[in-house]
Amino acid sequence: MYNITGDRSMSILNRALDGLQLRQQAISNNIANADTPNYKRKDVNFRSQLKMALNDNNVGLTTTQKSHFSIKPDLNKLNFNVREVNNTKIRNDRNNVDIDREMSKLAKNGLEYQAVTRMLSMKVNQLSNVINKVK
Amino acid sequence: MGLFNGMNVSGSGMTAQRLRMDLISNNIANINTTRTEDGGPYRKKSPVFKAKGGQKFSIPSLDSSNTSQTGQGVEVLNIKESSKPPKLVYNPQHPDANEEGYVKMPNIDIASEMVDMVSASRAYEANVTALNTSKQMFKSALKIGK
Repeated sequence: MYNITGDRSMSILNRALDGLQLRQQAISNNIANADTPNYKRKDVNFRSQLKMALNDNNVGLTTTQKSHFSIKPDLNKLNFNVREVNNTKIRNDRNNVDIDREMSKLAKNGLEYQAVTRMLSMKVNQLSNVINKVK
Repeated sequence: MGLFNGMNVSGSGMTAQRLRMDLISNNIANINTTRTEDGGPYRKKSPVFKAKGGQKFSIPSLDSSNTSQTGQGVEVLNIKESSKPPKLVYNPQHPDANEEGYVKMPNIDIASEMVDMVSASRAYEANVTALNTSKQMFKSALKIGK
């Protein structure tokens, strides 16, 4: 995606929102299934993947001349994986949802989402400032 | 449609817990019922919950909006009647007493029903909180750029 701001922060924030949203679904599902026998809690880890994609030296190719194409990883192709967590303590009905933990994760996730949207908003405001100053 | 799906998931949790609450209320209301349509005393009913969606060995898709992996909430598979034998209470005056004067009473333990009731109500509240968080997230997404 070509970015008008010239940096990748917009698309990174964009993908972060996607990841947080996916995690919100996983947590909601864990809470809804708090009393379902045999249910195993689900977790979404996207931070490490975003970090890996941001570190251009590790992923993609280095450019040593101006004519080289820089191959940056496509953030839109990032795959956030949902995994089932099996290694925590389980109840007698083989359900391992810890409701206290889920509720605190829920609160944290919601606040993180709001923080990211705030940052995106600031980016948009910066742009509109620049555009309006020229007029 | 990610956040809406999160709301549906919480909604399914609320529906399930409400049904559980209805069954508990019914159990408590019928704690002294000795006659039912099937004959014999009332028997304790409880819901069987099952997780919806979220295949265990699904191939991760490239599209993160695919929600099949996070699961689609909870559903009530069926309502099971407890197979525990009815309690025998000595009460010769009762119209349903047998020759020896014993009455078959429902196999309901009031203490465990009360515990279940509190648990169902708290679980319902947890789902409401999750729904509210999704709502807040949605609202803040709508405010981007304002």
